[in-house]
Amino acid sequence: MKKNQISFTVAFEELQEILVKIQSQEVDIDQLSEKVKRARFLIDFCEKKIKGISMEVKKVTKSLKES
Amino acid sequence: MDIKLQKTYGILELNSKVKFVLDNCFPDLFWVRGEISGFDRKSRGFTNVYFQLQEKNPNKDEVLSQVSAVIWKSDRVKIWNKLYESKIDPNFCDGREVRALCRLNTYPPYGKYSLIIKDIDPKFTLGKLAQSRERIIQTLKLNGVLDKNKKRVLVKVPLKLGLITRLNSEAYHDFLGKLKESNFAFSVQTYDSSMQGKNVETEVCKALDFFNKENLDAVIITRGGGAKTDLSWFDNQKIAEKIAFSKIPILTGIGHKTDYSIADMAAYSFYQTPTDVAIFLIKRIADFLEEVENISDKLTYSVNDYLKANLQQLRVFKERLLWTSAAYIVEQTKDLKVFKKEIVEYPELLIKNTKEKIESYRLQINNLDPVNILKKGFSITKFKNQTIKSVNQLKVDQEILTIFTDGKIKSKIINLKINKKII
Repeated sequence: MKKNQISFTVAFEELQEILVKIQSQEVDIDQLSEKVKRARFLIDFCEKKIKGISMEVKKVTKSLKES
Repeated sequence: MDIKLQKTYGILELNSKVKFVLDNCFPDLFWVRGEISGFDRKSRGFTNVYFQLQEKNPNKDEVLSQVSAVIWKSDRVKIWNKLYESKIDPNFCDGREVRALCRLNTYPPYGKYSLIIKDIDPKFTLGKLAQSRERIIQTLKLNGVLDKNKKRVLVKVPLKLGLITRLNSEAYHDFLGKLKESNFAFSVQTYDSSMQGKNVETEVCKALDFFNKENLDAVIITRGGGAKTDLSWFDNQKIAEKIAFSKIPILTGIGHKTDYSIADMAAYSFYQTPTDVAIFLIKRIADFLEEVENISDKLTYSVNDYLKANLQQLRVFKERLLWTSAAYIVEQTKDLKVFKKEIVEYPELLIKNTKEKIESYRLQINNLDPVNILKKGFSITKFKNQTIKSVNQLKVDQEILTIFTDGKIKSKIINLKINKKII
């Protein structure tokens, strides 16, 4: 796996981490918009990834449903 | 009377006088008992026959006294018939004890006397035979001889045989002929031996000694049937002892329809005729073969039974296997269906949940986005490019920068008021 290509799990975990930190006000207001930006990126990444996975799964389960 | 004055006899006169005295002294016919001797060589045909009658010391083989005897040709036929009817061997032989009705015969020209035998008492001969026989039997019984050969082991397939008989006799041919009929692979060694007469003892004993050195399954002593005195040659202690101490089982076929000899008693088993011995041997082998066949049949049956039982069990196993495997397949198919359903549903559910989570995170992030907060009416205050989080950071007359979503304002602090409580 390439350095800039993170996995869904790692992205999802980071997203959850950011969320928890923001919600518990551990994030400084100055860093907030950076963190939000990162979170948005991760959300988009995860969404894209889950869509891809969903497509794959549907392909597989379709053949299972038909068999 | 002075002995010198006594009468002087001429030889013939003397012999004639002796004859006269003797003839007057004995009745015309009188009984004499004695053992026959010197007879055998002259016994052929119905001619006049001369022999001796002798008396032996009962404890030793020593002749105490003997007398010449004769049977005239005419009497011999009569005596022969009488003995034959009494079932005694009508042929005289040496060693036989007889009670004879005699006439004294003196022959003056030779000065000898002899006995003319006119008749024989068969009962006496029979009695003598019986006595001697009984004596031998008692002795053998006392010494435990009679059972010894019976304790030998006769193999189940007695093929290697020793045959003691008179070569080329009827018995010889009967025995071998019967064996041949059977087609079994008998191997027979023959020892030629007298079966009657005084040589029986030595020859049969020699034959037994000879065969005892050979590797044989059984030894057969056989001869054709004969009259009772004939049989008496086998009422013999030495032969019985040889048989008893023989390492090989001895089978006898020397018998008689109504009686049996001491040799028979000492033997492993005895039969009436040579043919009977052969039949026994053949039957023993045939029985063994039958036994083998039976065992083989039984074996086949039991193997079949065993196979049947195993086959049955195999069938049961097969059915059980089919049944259980069918049940297993049903069970597995059921499980598989569940799995299939789950594998289809679970990822979808997982994706749905994840999507929902991501959506909820998006909402939360949106809510937390300072831009959106500013949109709700909040603003950010900065002094010298530092975000102000407390009134305490500021003083009156300081210029501060207030940031909104859509722009900034610069303003001067006129008044400061610190709340006791933070909202």
